[in-house]
Amino acid sequence: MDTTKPVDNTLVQLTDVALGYGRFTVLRAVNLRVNTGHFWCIVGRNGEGKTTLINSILGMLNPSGGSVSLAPSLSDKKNIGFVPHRCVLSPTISTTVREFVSLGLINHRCRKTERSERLNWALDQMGLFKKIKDNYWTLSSGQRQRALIARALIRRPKLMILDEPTTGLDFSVEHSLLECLRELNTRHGLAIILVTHDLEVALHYSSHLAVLYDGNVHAGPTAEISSQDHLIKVFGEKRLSQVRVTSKEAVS
Amino acid sequence: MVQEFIDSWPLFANTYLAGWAIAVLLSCVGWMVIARDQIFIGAAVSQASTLGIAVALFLSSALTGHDFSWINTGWFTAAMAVCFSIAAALLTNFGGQTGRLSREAITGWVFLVSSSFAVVLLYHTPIGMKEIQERLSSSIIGADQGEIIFYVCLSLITIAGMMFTRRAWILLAMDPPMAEAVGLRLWRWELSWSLWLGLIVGLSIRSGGTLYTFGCLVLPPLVANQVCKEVSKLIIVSPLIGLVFSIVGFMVANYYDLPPAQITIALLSTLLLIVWLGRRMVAF
Repeated sequence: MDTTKPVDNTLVQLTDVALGYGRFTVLRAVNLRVNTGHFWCIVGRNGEGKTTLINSILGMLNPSGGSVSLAPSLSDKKNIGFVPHRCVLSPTISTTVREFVSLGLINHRCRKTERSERLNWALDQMGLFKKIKDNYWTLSSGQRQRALIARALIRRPKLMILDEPTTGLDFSVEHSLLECLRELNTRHGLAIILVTHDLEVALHYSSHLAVLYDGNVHAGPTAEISSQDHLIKVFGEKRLSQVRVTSKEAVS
Repeated sequence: MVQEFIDSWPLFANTYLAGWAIAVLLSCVGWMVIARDQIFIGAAVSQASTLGIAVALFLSSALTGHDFSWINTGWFTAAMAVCFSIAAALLTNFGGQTGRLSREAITGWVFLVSSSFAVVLLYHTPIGMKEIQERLSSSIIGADQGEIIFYVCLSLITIAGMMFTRRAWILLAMDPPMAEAVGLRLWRWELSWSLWLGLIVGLSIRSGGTLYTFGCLVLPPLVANQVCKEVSKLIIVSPLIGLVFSIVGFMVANYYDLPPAQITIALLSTLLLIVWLGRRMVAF
């Protein structure tokens, strides 16, 4: 991965990237640029390569063609926060919210006071400050998801990558979680890449959209991408019109 | 009881010290086995180590009369035990990620292959068979002073290494995708873990036998997990439990003239039951 390409406030740039496993190509000719303050949503059906795309940004998958460039500030991954789709921790292992969130500071050398300050800030942002001493497993699923995000936030990242963080959450919890992310994005200029299969969420929250369909990626500002025909191909005309109506209602 | 134990010290000092060092050493790494939900891996790796000893004894018996005197040394047996346990740890950790065999299936396969071949190889060599039965029945054989110093040094290195890199290990146990995403190279950590686990189990088997090795690997961290609120505390509490209960176990065994390994494991198993029941009652 090329990490030596600082371009103004560009954090991630993918140029003609092809991604796949062995001979099987999942995505081809991917071009997108993530800047500070962008809120990207990556949408597509299951198996279209959403996770493959973020794996390439995280350096966990080398592209078979093209280049993935990260800003120098992201090269050692200290300024990247990642929220995986799910946590594989065994429920028989006891851990507190404090310990769980502090694990996000891996590879960060900081003093105890700074560690504690970061922890309090991250928990505060996610509304979990009062739960600091609680057992992680006594939290609700929405609170656990917030703890996962707090674990990424404690790194004070410039870029946050979230792999379907709202799967399995009910509407109100999902909405409040996404509102938190939007606030972090607007107030702190945190760049966000959110993987979702929910077009409604993508249209409502994102500033930029990457739509994955048949191995192709259509990426750009949400207003531009959401008006194109390929959205109909991906989601169907009926579904798309429903989503647009709901999305406008939500915005208004 | 204490006085009788002190009286027995000159005679059994090396056995006691070896047993305690092994208990601390194994319970230092056991928490990872628990956190990764791979308890049976301990049994499989212990059994593979026994197969290594069996292969060494078989070679020693088969090559009698030839000019291979080094085969009859204790170090060759130890090296074979370590090699087989490392191979088993690597196979169980790296295998089963693709194809139709799960990690658990491979762990089971390692256990069964090792158990059967260890006996088959030595069935017609009475001395070797006796040696394997001793390992399986877990007689604490003891060690010389050099080995005891080696175990103690290994324990100190393990504790220091675990404390220094504990966050990385905890994250690896809890959330490998996140660990990889923040820059940890998973295969390197997995390789280090497999090598260290294999080395420790392979060395411990020689002095402690299968039951004691497996028991000290999983029981102290399981007890610690019942009383600790955080995973990082397990790293400290687990070796303490291992040490205290191996001391108590050896005292009881000496007083009642019972096998020390079995008594220690029986005490730890009972403690786990009591602590678990206590927690259930408090929760109720």
